[in-house]
Amino acid sequence: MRKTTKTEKALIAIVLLLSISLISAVVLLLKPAERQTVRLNPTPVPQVEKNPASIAVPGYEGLQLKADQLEQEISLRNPEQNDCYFIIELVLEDGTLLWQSERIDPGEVSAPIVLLQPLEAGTYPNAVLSYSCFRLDDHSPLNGANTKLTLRVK
Amino acid sequence: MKKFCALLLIVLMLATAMPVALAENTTTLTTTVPDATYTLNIPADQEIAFGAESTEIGTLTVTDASGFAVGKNLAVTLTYGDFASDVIETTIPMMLNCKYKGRLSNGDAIYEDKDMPTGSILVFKGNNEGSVDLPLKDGTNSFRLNSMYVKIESTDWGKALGGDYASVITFTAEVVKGE
Repeated sequence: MRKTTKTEKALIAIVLLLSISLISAVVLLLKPAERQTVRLNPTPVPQVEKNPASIAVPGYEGLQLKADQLEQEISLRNPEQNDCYFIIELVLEDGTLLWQSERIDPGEVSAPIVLLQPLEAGTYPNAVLSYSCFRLDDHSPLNGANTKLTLRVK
Repeated sequence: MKKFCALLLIVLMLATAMPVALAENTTTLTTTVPDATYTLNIPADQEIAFGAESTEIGTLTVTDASGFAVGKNLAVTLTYGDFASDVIETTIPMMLNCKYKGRLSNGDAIYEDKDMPTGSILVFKGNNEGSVDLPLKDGTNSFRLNSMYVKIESTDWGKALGGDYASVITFTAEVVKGE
């Protein structure tokens, strides 16, 4: 049997590398794109007319949070047309308080959410954003709202 | 050397032909369903005059809704208690009442109302424009939510001791799958 020369060995190595590269490229090209996420826009809404008879409460079907860390990138807003301030709480389905905002005046956004405890990666349905609403002058309570949502922690 | 060249040719042919073969046999369709977002507009507060048996407090609407669809609705649960005070023993029972607006065949407006005890649910049904429609009375007929009232029986006014009372209504919204 004839011995393989050094040149042939090098050629074989190059061919094998080329083949592996081609197969990897094909696999990567055919892999489905990762799910896109909708990011909240923390920019305040444009100036609008105040409506003291009504309170506008933003609601979300879901929010995405970062796993295993307290600091998040999400801020929540109080729409400019409101004539009251918000204090917002984020609570898990079992009643665990994850976050309480500072006072959020109309047209303002909260500081980025800092959780009271980190969450493991996973899906947390039936979490609640609880909006407590207060008059700007005497701080007396107004009607409030809760919005249920799913937390997706990645 | 000839054998080696033949092997090299076969490997190269296979490597270049594989993507074409895979691409021809597989069509990957992907989509992203965005989370629904909305603004729930709730009545702020209302001073109820002593003795008033029915007082309009505004209405409940949804604006800036997106990501909804037919079969993806927004359910709003109404929760409230009696009028109460920290310093007075008596309470004043209340009932929320929704007034719904419809149209006669000649175009004239017509109204119907319905009592909404605490725990009642109003459903804003998703539409094919990504938004939601005003709730229908009983979810079926053509009467749509127009305004909300607080009803207090005159006899309940009579039982209340003098003082300041308050009641807070909580509106709990949830994106739900329709039937």
